[in-house]
This record gives sequence, structure tokens and C-alpha cells, in this order.
Amino acid sequence: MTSARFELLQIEAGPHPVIELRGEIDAANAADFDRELCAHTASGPAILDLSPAAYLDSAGFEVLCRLLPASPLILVISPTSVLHKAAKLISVPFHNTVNQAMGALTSNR
Amino acid sequence: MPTGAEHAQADEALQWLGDEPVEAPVKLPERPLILIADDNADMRRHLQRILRVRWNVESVTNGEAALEFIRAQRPDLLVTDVVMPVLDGFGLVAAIRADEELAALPVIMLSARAGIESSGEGFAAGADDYLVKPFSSADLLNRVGARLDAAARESQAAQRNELTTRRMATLAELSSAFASVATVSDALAALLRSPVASLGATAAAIGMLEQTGELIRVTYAGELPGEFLDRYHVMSRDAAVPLADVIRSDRPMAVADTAKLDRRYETVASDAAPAARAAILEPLRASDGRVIGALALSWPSPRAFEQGELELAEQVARVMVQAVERIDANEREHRIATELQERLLDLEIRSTAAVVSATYQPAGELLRVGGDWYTATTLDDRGRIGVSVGDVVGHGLPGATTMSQLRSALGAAALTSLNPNAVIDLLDSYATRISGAACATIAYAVIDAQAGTVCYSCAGHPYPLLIRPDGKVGYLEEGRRPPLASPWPGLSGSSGRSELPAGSLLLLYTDGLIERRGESLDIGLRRLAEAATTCIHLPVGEVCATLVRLLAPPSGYSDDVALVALRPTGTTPESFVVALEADKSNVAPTRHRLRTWLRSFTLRLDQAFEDDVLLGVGEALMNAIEHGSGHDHKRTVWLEVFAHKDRILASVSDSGRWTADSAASRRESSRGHGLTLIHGLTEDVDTTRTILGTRVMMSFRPNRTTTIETR
Repeated sequence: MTSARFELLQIEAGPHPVIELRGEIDAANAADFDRELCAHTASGPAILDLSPAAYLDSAGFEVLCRLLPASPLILVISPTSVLHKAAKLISVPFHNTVNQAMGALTSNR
Repeated sequence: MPTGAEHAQADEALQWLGDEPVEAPVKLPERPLILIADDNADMRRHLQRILRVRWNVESVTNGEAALEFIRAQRPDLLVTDVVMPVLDGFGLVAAIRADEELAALPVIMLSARAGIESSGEGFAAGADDYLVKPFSSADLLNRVGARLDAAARESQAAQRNELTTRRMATLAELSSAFASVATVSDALAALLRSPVASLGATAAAIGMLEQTGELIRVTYAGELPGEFLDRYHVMSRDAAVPLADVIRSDRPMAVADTAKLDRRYETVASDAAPAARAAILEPLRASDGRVIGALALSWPSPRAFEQGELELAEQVARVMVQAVERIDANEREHRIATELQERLLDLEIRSTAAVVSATYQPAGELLRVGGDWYTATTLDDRGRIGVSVGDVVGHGLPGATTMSQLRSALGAAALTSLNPNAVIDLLDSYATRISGAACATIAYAVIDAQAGTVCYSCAGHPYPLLIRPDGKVGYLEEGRRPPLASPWPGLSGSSGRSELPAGSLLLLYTDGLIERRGESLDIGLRRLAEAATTCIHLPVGEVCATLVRLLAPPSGYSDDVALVALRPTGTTPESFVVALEADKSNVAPTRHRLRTWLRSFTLRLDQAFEDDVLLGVGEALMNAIEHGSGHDHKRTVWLEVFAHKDRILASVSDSGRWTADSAASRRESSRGHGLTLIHGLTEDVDTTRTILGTRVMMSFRPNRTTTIETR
């Protein structure tokens, strides 16, 4: 029995780094998630792939909704992800695949 | 014979129309109908040609025929000649005016006789207007048009008058309907039942300022989304919500279309749509002029409001204030009467070994302090719990005083021993020393959830009821002893003992629940046992509410009812029951255990459904910890999940009264998204707020292809 834990992994470097979220985010660790995510996006635009995450509650979505307008962060949530339905309900903007997100990022430049 | 002048007019008409025959005129049903009474065929044809351009026209040849036609067809205006066979123009008009039902018909009289005196004769006979032949077609059209307009105005005025009368009557009816309502939500329901008073609104709300003047608590009735109700039941006086602004500004508000509201209201407008697209809001002013709240009415589609409707809403608000003030005064009285009871009957459960709920129902409508009580106390670090239900002879202040003395004594005695019979021994010796305690009855049980047992003792009290995990129901009939301070001392007994495995449900109650006048107690016991079988897979709070509802005699309870429902924490194939300390870090482990339990339904539940349940339950738990318990770690939050055949039923209970601004959270914290998720992931959400806390029941239904099968 453990409390919610998560990991942010940078799986691709480069001008548009890709970060993956693994594990669980809830109201108990959302503040840590917020802090770590800010650190990852401090240097420039990044793609955050939420598809591998096991759990993300409203506190986690709240962090994303707060960061999105201000930081160059692009979300990826695959249609098979456990987060997909919740993301749709909350109407968070996201891409289905990392490639789509990459495309959006480069065409905006 | 037509006069020369008539010929001249007829010629004018023929010039317009050439030789075209008079064909049947086009009849448009919505056009006014004009009747022509004239014995001259040329004249009739001439008049028809002129008038049918704008109106439907029929004609007859004498007064008698005209009267007959008027009675049958009710034309909107009559154009009549003076000189006609059978019944002339004067006779016709006199007959019309003499008939109450026809008297209002506008009449224009035509005559060749020129001069003041004959037109005076026409008016004296009751004609509304008088045209002297020859007349121009334009003149005729103008006169007829003017008369019809005047008649339409009069009928509108009459309709308005009638509407005002009807509304006054409705307000009187509403006022008398309000006289018998006991709660604000009943008053709102009564308002919605009157389509005239509510202007056909589909939902209504009353927001009342709390005594501190900072928070507004809102009561709703009618058709509004459940998510909206959960979000806007408490709001700050400064919230960007029309209801709050109306209270703050003391000004009414009419919203023809919520989509066109000021941006300030964007969030609340979109939350309320599509159930509410138009609204009227009226401040509620107390008799001293102070604003105490506001009334809102809403409609599902945009609509404009007439002045008269706004005035009516204002009057309805005035009638509503009287009802609300009366209800408030009653409730305050009721509060004073039950304050003692509520303080005493607070559940002191800090244990994670069981989930407990209780209810107290005073007899009938009488507002009085009763002599029944219940308690639930954590006894030791192992989480053993002592539960009691008792009944003192007598009501009112003497009964309540004795009750509170016994209750305190029991609390102290319970800490001296884990043996229920020994605890009752101690209580009994105390009871002999206080007046009014004679023949008080009590059922006391010690629950050891770790061992899966219950030990109990009943002093002259009805048997506790145990519903086993397999649904079998049985009374706990051991551990009998006489009532407290009884005239037959020395009959002390021994404790009874029974298994209490996870998945079982224990009920303690006072006899008011089962007793009915002129009926054997056995029948009441059977009735309870039968009703209890339907409760095995309901959360404890729902068990109490359901039993009190199912067992109420048709005329209401004649005695007070106290009822405690307890379920040990633990897991069975059909149930998952957890009590956790109100700490956010406890939610993830609970989720993990819930996932394991959900996976026990073999592979029949798909992964997505499992995720829906976990997220919905997780959100509700976080809400209960943050808002219902204020992060007070000593409080516990209870989760009960049941596998029904076609759905998963989950209940999350806390022991607090939410004080945060539920509407503000929409903008400021994650609770806004939390409610969106809870409502979006579930089939149904039912939130119950009682003095003991808030309970959220969620129903998750998998898609048709999956079924829930427990092993």
C-alpha cells in the first residue's frame, strides 16, 4: 500500500523534448507534479506524453490547465490511455500521438 | 330600387373590377369576418368587393337572417342597411344589443337618409358608426378598419383584466398552499405546481443568506442538472452568480437569454444550460426591508418577459417571503428543540474498523425533545467500537435530561470493560440512583471487526438485527436482561455473542421503528426483517433512510425512532467497505485495493470501466477529505462499494458540513473538474446532506456487453 507516485522521464532530447508521465497523480502529490513539470518546461517548448500514466485526477488536470496557457507545453493522450475519457470530459486540448504533437509544434514556428 | 347615388358607388366598384363575376372570395381563417345585411343585391356585391380585400365577408338579405347568422357564426363586425324587409336595421341593432352574448358586436349602419337627425337615430339605436350613402370605398374601409381595431383593443384590455384577476386568485391560492409547507423545497415545489404563479417555469431556487451574511445556501426544485445542484448549493455573497448579485444589489433581474448574459456570468450560464436558458430573479425582503435571500425562476429556452409577468414575479416573491420566514421561524424552534439531541447524537467514530450511520426521527409532526438516544464510540486502539441505542420512559425536557445522564454514564461505563453485560451492570446501578431512569431500555453492542464478532446485551430492549453477507436475516436473541432500574433486580444475564464477518450489517433500533398500535410485536419484527433484506447492498446512510421510509405507518410514526446501522470494514465478493482517516495520502492505497477488488470480477469488466470507477471514487474521496473533513485527520471518511448485477454502487460519506463556496471552486480549484469527472463518469449521482455529514452515492453502469459477476 503506497501513496500516489509518479515519474517524469525525458525520452527524447532536442529542440522539442518529449517527456513521459508514468505512475499516478492525485491531490496528494499534485504539487510535486506541478514543480517537476515546471522544471522540465523551463528551458523551452516540450511535449508531455500522458498516455503511459496510470492515474491522473482533477488535481492533476488542474495543474495542466494552469500551465498550458502560460508555457509552451503540448499534451499527448492516446485514445487507449486510461486518461482519455477524463481529458475529454474536462476538455483539455491534446494530440493522439507524439508525431501529431511534433507536427503541430513545428508548423506553429 | 337603388338610388342614383348607390348606382354611382356601384359603378366605381365595377370600374376597378371590370366584368369579372363575383367569385367566392378567398377565405383566410385568421382574418376577421364581416357580415353584410342588405336587401339590395348590387349593394351587397359592391360592399363585398370593397371589404373582401382585407377581411372575410358574408352577406344576408334581411335583419332576421342577419341575427341568425350572427348567433351561429359570431362575425367580428356587422355592416347593415336601415331599410330591409322582415326586420329592419334599427330592429336588428336593438335585438343585438339586447342579447348579452352578442351585445359587444361592432355595428356600422348604412343609410341613404342624410342629415344629423337620422345619424342620431342610428346611434340611438345602438350602432357604433353611421355611414351615409353615397360613401367612397376608402371611407368604408377606414371606418370598418377603425371599428375592428377598437374592438380588438377592447378585447385585449378585457383579456388583460381577466389575466390580472386570475393572477390575483393564483397568488391567493399560492399563499394558502404555502401555509401548509414545512420546508423551503416544498414551497418551491408548490410554486412550480402552479403554472400561472410560476409563469410556466421548469425550475425554481431560493438562495438564503446565512446568519453570518457571508454565505448563501441554495435550495432547488424542478429540472436542473445534478452537477449544477452539487456545484451551486453553497456560494459566497460575492460570487459571480446572478442569484448572489440580486441579493447583494437588492435589485431584481430578468434574463431573456442566458447565452447573452454579461461575461461575468459566463461560467454559471454555461453550467445551467440547457436546463435554464431564461430566468427571473427577485430579491426576498423581510418585513423590515432587509434582503434575506432571492427567488429564481428558470425556463429551458430563451424568452422575453412582459411587464405584467415581471410584476407577477415580484408579487410571488412577496408571498414567498412570508412562507420562508414562517418556515425559518419553525425551523429555528425545531432547532432549539433538537439542538440538545443533535449535540448528544453526534457519532464519535474515529475507528477505521466499521462504517456507522444513524438517524433520529421524532414522532409525528410534534417538535419535541425525545427520550431515545444512540451512541457510537471507539473503545480502544484496536478499533473496537461500542454502539448503543436506548429509550427512556417519557418525553420532553425530563425525558431528555434522563436520556443525557444515562448516555454519559454509558460512555464512562463502556471504557471500563469490553464485556457488554458488565457495562450494563454498571449503568444499571447508576440508573437506580437517578429519577426517571426506571424501566429505561438499552441495547449495547461491542464490535470487534478484526475478530469479526459482536458481543451484546439487551436490557428490556428489542433484539438487534443482523443481516449476514449471504443476505440471511436473524435477530440477536441472547444477552437478555430486564430494563434498567427495574422493579425486578438481580436478574442480571450474560452477554450474547455472534459472528460479524465482513459484508454483514448490524441494526440497533428503538421500538418506535417496529411498534404499531393494536398489533403484536412479532408482526413488527417480521416487517423489519423483511425490509432489511433489501438493504444488504446499500450504504449504511441509505440503510437508515430506507428503513425509516419503508417502515413508517401510513399516519406517521407515533413514537420516536432511533436507528443505528453498522457495517464492519472489509471485503467480500459483493462488497468493499473501507473507513480511512481524512488524509489525502490515504486515497491512493484505497484506490489500489479497490482496483484489486474490481479485478476479482474475473475478466468480465473491461479496463475502461474499471478506470471510470476508480477515478469517480477517487474524486469523491478527495472531496470528502478536503471539503467535508477540512483535512482534520481525526475524522474518518467512509467508502462503501457494492457489486450489483448490472452496476457498481459506490458511496462516499464524510462527517462534515461543507462550508466552502462550492460555486467559487469552479474557477479556483480542482473541485470544479472533480465534479465534472464524477458526473461524467457515472450513470447517476445522488448527494445527501444531513446533520451527520454529506453522502455521495454514485452508480456506475458498464456498457451492455459486460456484466458484473462475483464469484
